[in-house]
Order: sequence, then structure tokens, then C-alpha cells
Amino acid sequence: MIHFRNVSKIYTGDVVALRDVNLDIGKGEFVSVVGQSGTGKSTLLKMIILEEKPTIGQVFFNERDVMTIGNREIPYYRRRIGVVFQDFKLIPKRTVFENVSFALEVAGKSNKEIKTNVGQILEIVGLSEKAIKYPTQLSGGEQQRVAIARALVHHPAVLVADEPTGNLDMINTWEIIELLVRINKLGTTVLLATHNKEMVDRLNRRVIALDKGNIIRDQLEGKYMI
Amino acid sequence: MNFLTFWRGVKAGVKNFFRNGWLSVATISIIVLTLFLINIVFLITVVSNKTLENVQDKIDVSLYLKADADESSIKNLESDIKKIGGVKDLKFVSKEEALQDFKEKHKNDEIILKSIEELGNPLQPSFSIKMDRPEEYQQIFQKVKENDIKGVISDVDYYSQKKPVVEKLSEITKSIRKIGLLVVAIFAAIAVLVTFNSVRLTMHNYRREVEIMKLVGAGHWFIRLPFIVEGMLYGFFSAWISILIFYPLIYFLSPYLNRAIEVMDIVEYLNSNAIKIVAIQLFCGVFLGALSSLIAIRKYLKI
Repeated sequence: MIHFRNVSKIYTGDVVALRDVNLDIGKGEFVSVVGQSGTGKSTLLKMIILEEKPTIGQVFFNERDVMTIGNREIPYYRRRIGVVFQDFKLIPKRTVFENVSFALEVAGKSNKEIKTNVGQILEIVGLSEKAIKYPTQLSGGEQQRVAIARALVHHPAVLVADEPTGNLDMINTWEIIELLVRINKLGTTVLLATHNKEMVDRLNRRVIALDKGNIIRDQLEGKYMI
Repeated sequence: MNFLTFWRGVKAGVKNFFRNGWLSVATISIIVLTLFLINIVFLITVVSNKTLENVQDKIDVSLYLKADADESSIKNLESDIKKIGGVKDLKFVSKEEALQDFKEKHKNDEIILKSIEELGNPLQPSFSIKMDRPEEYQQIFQKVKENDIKGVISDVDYYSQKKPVVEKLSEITKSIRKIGLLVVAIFAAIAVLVTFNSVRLTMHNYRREVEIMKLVGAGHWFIRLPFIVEGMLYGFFSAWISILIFYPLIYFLSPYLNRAIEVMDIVEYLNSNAIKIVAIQLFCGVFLGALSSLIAIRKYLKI
């Protein structure tokens, strides 16, 4: 589903973020990308959502080279991928419901569709009762669940999560991870970037370890080892 | 973009406007202030133009005809003059009318009245001409003289008496118009810059929002529309507020203003041009607001 072919990313000033990366991620997989800060985890994920482009090499999504996606097409492309960030990226002036429904409004869905879909997804993440609250009235864990709901509401094929638990305490972290596992079971491919060792070890899923831009390990039932 | 998306964009813009609260108030106050200043400058320009028009209106130039000029030549000359563009007013004064005017003017001067009675009627018939623009007098007299084959014209009081006055006046008119235009242009530029900057500050608050919008797959116009609507609302409210301050203020000051400005009634002018003034103000405000946010948001669209 997602393929990296000899991908390197060099930022200005000769900072190498990724070096000759080759990678295949299949449909329905749960993949953790681990490594120290600054090893290229985020760059890898950003390439999938087209926030960054490879300096050398190709990235394919569903057999299509993402470099061939024109600027006008990018919004449509991004609607097929859900993204979650460490800092949640919620709009503070919108309620929980509005933050989630936003992803559907963007796609031009009808009000009726939006109501049903948002209702369902808020139930999945356990926030039905907080639909009319604003993000600042929620705990960190709850805010992240809103972000996940927003990422999933348009039924994307892939969920990309960049350090989603980085700002959360242990209990909230586990809630989020359990949620991601549940979502993966429902058929969504999950790509998780993290440096939380304990979490990765307990997940017991595929682990890709990065170090200084290189893939140093790729194990199907991996542990956090660098 | 379909209607649903468009409608959502408009709704989001209106919502943002009200949710922004104090920031909206601050932005609007700045736009109100600049629009208000433009109003004042505009009014000053109107008054000074009116004053000039008034002075110009008092100038007319006479074209003297020979005492024995027959009626048909006079008629011909009249239609010739009318054919030349720029003539605002043309009046024929016959010998008898000229005498009447003369007597009226000097009715307190016995000696002059007596001597004129002795002389009979030495006055000549004439055309009194008013032009739209004072600098055109010279041209018109040249043309008239060229056409005067029969030689009915005896003299023009333009070259000897009125030319220096007319020339001075048209010089003043021109420079006042130029200065007025310059001042209006400067104020308009300031207004655009100030508005643009305050809208840009407001939009700076949205950079995160724009980033999020892009990441969930919003198209460029979907992102822009709410901001444009918000900018238009700034302009819309600012225009009304500035009008609501400006009009009552002028009404309140009108007794003093009318004493100082004799050439026109400002309140009367503002009333008869109310629709035009409101429309221009609204258009400028809304256009300015929309344009400012469109430019301001561009910066954040590059992800």
C-alpha cells in the first residue's frame, strides 16, 4: 500500500533526515516507527502526507508515485489519510463536534452525513457526552481522542500518528494506544511514530527502527531496540 | 466549489468574526478611524472645489460688437460661439440693455449720468461669455475672431483686463485640485496599509487553523473563503460605524460650519449625496477588508 524506494531527504544545509530508505507497508498493518528524536521519524511520516517531498527516490501510495500528485490534487489525496500529532492540533475556537465535523465539511459531505458519522466516531473514542465542549475544557487524553476522531471520521485507509502520546501521562497513553489498536482491528492501516519503549514492547507489532536517517531494523513482532 | 461548500465558508467566516470578539473590535476601530479621516479629507476637498467654482462663476468676459452690426451677423456669431465646446453661459446684451446697466451702476453719480445723456448712447452691444474652465477663454476668442469674416467684433475685454485674473485663477484651481488629489491619495494609501496590517495581525492568529485545514484536506478556496468573509465583515461594520459617527458630527457642527463656509450648505450636500457616500464607503470598506485578508492569508497557505 505504501512503498518507499531509495528515499533520501536532505534539508538545506546538508542535514540528512533520511538516507536511502526502502520500505513496504501493507494494508491493515500496524507499524511503529521508533528512534531517537531527530532520526527522521517525522520526516518519514510527513512524506506520506505530502508535507515533505523526497530529495531522491520515490514514495508510492496505492501504486501511485506521490510526486506526480499536483497541487490541486493534494487536498483530495490528504482526505484518504488521517493524521494525528503530538500537539493535537485542534482548533480552540471550535467545539469537539465542530473540530471533528470539519474534516467532513472539507470534503463537501451533507449535514445529515456529518451528523451520523461524527456521532458514531465520537462514540468510538468515548466522547459523545463532550461534543459541545471546547478543546480547552478537555484533558490532554481527551483532546488527543478528539484529534483521532477527526483523523478517522472520513474513513481513511491509513492513520498516521506522529508521537500521539508524547504529551500524555501513562494512563492516557494506554487509552490512546488501545484506541489505535481497536481502529487497526477495524481495518485501518496504522503508522505510529514514537520513542516510548514500553508502549512499543507491549504492542508486539511490526517495528521499524531508525537511526540517523537509516533503517537499522525492521521486525514483524518487534521490540524497541536501537 | 459547490453551493454547500460556499455556504459553509460564509457561515464559518461569520462565526469567526463573532468569536474573535475583541480582536474584531480592535480591527474595526482602526478601519473606522481611517475611513473617518478619509471622509474629512473628502469633505475638505469638496468645500474647496465649491469655493473655486464660486469664484470662477463670478468671472465673465465680454465680446464687444460694432455699434452698427446687423441682426443676422449677430445671430450668426451667436451660433458660431455656441458650436465651440466648453461654453457654460452665453448672453447677448444689446446697446439699450448696456445703457440701462450702466445707468443702474452709476445711479448715484450725477456727472456721469449727465454726460452720458449728452453723448446719446455710446455703448456697444456685446456677448457676455462664461466658460466651464477659465483657461479656455483664450482659445475661444481666437476661434471667434478667425470666424468673424464680416468684422462685427470690435473688441474683447479679455486680453487687456481679465487675462491676468483668469490665468491666476486657473493656476490656483489647478494646484488646489492637484494637492487635494494628492492628499486623498495619501490618506487612501495609509488606510489601505493600516487596514491591511491589522487584518494581517488578525489572520496571524489563524495560522494554526490554516495548517490544520490543509492537513485534513481542505482546498485552497475552502480555506480562503471564511477569511475573506471575515475581512468583508470588518469592512462592512467599519463603514457603517464611520458613517454613524460622521453624519451626526457634521449635523452637530453644522451651525459653526455654515458660518465659516459660505459657499455651500454642507449638511444639505451630505443629505443629497447620502446614498452615494454610503455606497462608496461600504464598497471601499468591504473591498479593502476582503483584499487585505486575501493577501494576508496567502502567506499561510504554503504548506
